[in-house]
Amino acid sequence: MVNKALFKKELKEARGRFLFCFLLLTAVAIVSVLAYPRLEELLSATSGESSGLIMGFSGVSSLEITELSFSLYLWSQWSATYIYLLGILAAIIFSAGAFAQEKAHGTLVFLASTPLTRTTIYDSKALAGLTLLAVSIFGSTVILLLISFAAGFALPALLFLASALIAFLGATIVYLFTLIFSMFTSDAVKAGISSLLLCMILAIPGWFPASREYSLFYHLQSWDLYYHNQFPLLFFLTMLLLAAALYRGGLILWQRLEIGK
Amino acid sequence: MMNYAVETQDLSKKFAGVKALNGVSLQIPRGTVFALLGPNGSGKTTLLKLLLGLLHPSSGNANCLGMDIAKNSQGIRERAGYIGEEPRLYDYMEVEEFIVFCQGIYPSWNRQTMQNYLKEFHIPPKEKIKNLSHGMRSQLSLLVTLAPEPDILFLDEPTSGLDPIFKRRFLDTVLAETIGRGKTVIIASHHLNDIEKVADHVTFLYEGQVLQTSPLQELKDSIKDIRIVFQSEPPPALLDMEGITAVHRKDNAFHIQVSSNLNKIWRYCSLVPYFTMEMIDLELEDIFFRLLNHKVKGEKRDGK
Repeated sequence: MVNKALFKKELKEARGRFLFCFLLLTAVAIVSVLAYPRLEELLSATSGESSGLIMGFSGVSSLEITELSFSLYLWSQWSATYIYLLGILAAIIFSAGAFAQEKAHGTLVFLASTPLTRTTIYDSKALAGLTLLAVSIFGSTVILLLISFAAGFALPALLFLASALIAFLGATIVYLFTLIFSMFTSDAVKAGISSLLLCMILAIPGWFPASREYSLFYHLQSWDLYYHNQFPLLFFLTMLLLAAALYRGGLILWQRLEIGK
Repeated sequence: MMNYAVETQDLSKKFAGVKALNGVSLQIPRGTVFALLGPNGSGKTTLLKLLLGLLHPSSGNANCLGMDIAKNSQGIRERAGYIGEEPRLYDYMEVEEFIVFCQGIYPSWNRQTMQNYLKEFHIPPKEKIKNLSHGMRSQLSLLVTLAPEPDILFLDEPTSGLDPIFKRRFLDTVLAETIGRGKTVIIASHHLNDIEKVADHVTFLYEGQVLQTSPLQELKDSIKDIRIVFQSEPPPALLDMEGITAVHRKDNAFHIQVSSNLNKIWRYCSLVPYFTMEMIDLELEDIFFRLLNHKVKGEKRDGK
């Protein structure tokens, strides 16, 4: 259950962080689209080399690329790189301070002594952050698509939106475990760094071809979606279950947490 | 059970093996201004936080407004107001914005009460909270605590850091809101003399344990000093009477400190020929130290 007043307060407190993340993602989206004509020029000037090598972007060089297209280029830039990486960064930025800042400012005792249930406080905070995360990820993806269309490029819009959904779910998982870190410290930076460290540990399997399949981040690049036009339902459901478990676990921890020790 | 606003039985709380509260059993009557007194670290704040469900008891149990603190802390908080030692509010908000925020949190909200106090306290609605003085922040905190019309108020060191004017205004407001309205106020404080003016029941806490709990007047009537100048040497049995914690003498002039059994001691003194004899009222702070000395002496005697 969400309390409207608390939800609004959370949105207001996070507006600076939201603006930063949203503008960053939007700027990256715009630059990604506008950089393509220059890349095409570079490609024609260096014919004979593999386009994947020239691009050097994650995922692309490992695939057999016979022909570079705008949509492949943009997928490698946006869906396979920026949207999930910056989405995860945004998730950490939005959640690291959710409880930690209230603790640091001493307002958590005030909040917890009101009639709001622990569940309501947790849900309101979580939903506010996830709303901002969703607006950042989907909003910037829509802007990317609009600019592409305006620049005269055709794109498989639904596929891009589907990849944004997968990136959002990945960022949600990071958001939820950062929220847990945030409960146990009064330092938002500590919570954020702990979360980044966990992300790095989770990324390790992705560094080796043999274990790549076990990396959350590898799947977030959604290459199967692009090449086989197939929504990774099993992965999506697994992520959904993981997110649900993290939500539930975080809630239980928050309900048991002693405040103002 | 229902005659008490709060009832605790053997309530204990440990932090990392250290007992912050040690077997506290209390009964706080409804409609009283009940003071929890004691030095820093005596367990006052811990007790309030346990009653509000912010902390969980290590052992024992307690009821507040007829609700079990372990099972229905949210129900308790719906009918309770809490003001912490240093009112920590959302500094970036304007006063008005903070009030609207609080209004959205509480199930009931008396606009009239809120507006009356906003006017009375002269709190500028458009001012940012961070720009308010400590006194005004305390008053704003009191305002948003009173507007939901709680049945019980928990005030933790409410007058700390307030100048005498704000202090008086704060305590007067608390009294005005509670007297005759059947509300219960529990004030935790180490400013014993401030509380003396408003409390009708007191409990002294020391190292997590209850030293004494009693109606204030009863306590003040039972713990006093006797100053007496005897005409001759008093009988030793008098000075050994139970309840006498200390005796200071200069020749035949005696200053007898009494912590219990006052009437009996007074009567016995009056039977011995004397030149002058008077009973001296004590302030709460003196009473606290008297009880503390009594406890320490008792523990030494018991070899603890």
